[in-house]
Amino acid sequence: MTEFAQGLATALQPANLAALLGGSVLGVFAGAVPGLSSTVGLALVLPVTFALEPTPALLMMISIYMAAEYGGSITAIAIGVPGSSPALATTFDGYAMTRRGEAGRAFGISLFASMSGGIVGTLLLVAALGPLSRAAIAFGPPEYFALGVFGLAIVANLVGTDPLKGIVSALLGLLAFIVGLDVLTGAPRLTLGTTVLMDGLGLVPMLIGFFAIAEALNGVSGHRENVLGTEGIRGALPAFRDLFRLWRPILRGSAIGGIIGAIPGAGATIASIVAWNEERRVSRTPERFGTGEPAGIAAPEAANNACVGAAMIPLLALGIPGSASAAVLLGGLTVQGVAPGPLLMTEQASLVYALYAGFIVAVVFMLGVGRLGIPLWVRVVSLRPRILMPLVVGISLIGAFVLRGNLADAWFALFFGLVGFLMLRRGYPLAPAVLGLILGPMVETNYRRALALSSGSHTVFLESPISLVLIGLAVISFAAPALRSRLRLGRGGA
Amino acid sequence: MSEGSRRPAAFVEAGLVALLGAGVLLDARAYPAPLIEGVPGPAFFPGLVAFLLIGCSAVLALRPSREPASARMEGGGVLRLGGAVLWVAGFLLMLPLIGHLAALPPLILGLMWLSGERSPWILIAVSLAFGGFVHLLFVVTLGVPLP
Repeated sequence: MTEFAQGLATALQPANLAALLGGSVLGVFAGAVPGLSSTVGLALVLPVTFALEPTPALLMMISIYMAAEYGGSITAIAIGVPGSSPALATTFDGYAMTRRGEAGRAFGISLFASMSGGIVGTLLLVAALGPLSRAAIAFGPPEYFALGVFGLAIVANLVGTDPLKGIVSALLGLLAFIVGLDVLTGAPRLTLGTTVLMDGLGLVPMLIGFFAIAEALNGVSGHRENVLGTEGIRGALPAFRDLFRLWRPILRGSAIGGIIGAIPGAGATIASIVAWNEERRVSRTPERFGTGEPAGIAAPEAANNACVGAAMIPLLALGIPGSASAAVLLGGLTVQGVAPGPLLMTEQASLVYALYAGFIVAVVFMLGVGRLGIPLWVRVVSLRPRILMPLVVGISLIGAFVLRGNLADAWFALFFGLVGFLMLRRGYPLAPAVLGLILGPMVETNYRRALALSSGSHTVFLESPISLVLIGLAVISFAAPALRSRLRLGRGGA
Repeated sequence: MSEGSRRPAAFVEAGLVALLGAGVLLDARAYPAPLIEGVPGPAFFPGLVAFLLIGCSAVLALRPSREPASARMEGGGVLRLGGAVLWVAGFLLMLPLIGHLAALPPLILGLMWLSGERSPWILIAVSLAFGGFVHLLFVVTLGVPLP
């Protein structure tokens, strides 16, 4: 309790409060503008955090993450277009309520549910991080290798509709990690004989390129316009009694978000759709879902915000990002010299407790920024992409440069932006590539170290129960899509 | 989308993945041998990834698949994309020579024009304001030196 009080005192320092407030404003903006998202918002702010101390930098990032999950519902409710993909399920009932003249009520329900989900996700993080970190302290090279393989397997299968393209994407990420000097021998690999590539391609240029520049190039090539009217956004806010009546959908949505969010690769979009579907399933009036049912907003919004805290569990305890946004957050931790993993709780306990408290303060700021700014946000999100997207490119290139003061990083960001754009066009998900780059060192280095310790015997991976379980889970995860399609084919043929 | 127009795109895609894998295999031949016998050296992991890429490329080429809807891009879109990439490359080449204050406004102006903005006032005002904003944020506020 003392540690949490100290964490709260740290989060309430003026510089940290300013970072949390700034993060909330940026997060709602990034979530609300179609084409941006929590991931793009985090990628854009990454270079700015470089100049900040670790605590305000990370508090700003978690605040962006939290607020962006709510921000997506603004456009979902106002115009029926999700600002970001986790708000997809909110459009089903949110926009229907707007057309019925109940936009204010829908905004209020979304905000209250997001706040509740955010708190539940944070409590889950507080409860799970310590035990998981303690369990992970026993990890050696075989366990870390198995963990890395498990992370790669689950992500390649869960991201995107085409598992093969997910696997190719992860392999491309692994290839990007190989570029540079080999960690164990110092041998240059895939450097094309140049010194520029000796330092590697770097995580941050890849994140900026994939999530900011690729999206902006998509906007430039597509002449996309946001068609946003402000009609019908007025309307009475919900009464407290109205919100209290929704406690069951909010609790169910939060629980679903908390569980799915903690699974690497599952993410807020899946959680919110599952929560909406589950709510319809248990409802006595399922036919009202999709026509403006308040529970159809409350459950998915609670779920996508509960995912934020939950996604931090594997990230902070094991160094495995549970979503693309968490991968960018890992980039932020790396920039600040903070190494996530089992030792984080013991070596940087004050930072962890400040993050816990920061999540709660971020939820409060999200509530304030969201409630006070609804009319403003609806106007801001109508900012034309033909103005917004060039600015995203400009800030991304400068951002990639400032992290190491190296112009090559800006070139790498442009390269990754173009590659990311082409991959998205061809249906390749980007998140597995980022995870390949992140998990590649964990997989390769620990594989070679484990074999060096066992004099080349592969049984070392089967002797540890943890490693055995993780490898088994990875095999199941790799085989699951093929088994599912076989079963579907079998049923279809019967 | 007809079979005839779909397959060449899928073959090109698979060919690129295979080419990448083959390139990695070729490069890995020059890496030093393992330091300890029986323990993989620096060539092992790139070789494994390359083999997997080549395997995936074979499946990509042979499996029946539909062209993703997102893959279709009209001619104007390709030109705008090419123009934008070249414009950004030009900016990166000019940045160390003329500095960020002179290089950023033309970058933004050109990209906005390529994106479809035609109002001269918006083009000039937004691009100049952006250059000033970046200078204020990074150089003045955060103390980060820019070229």
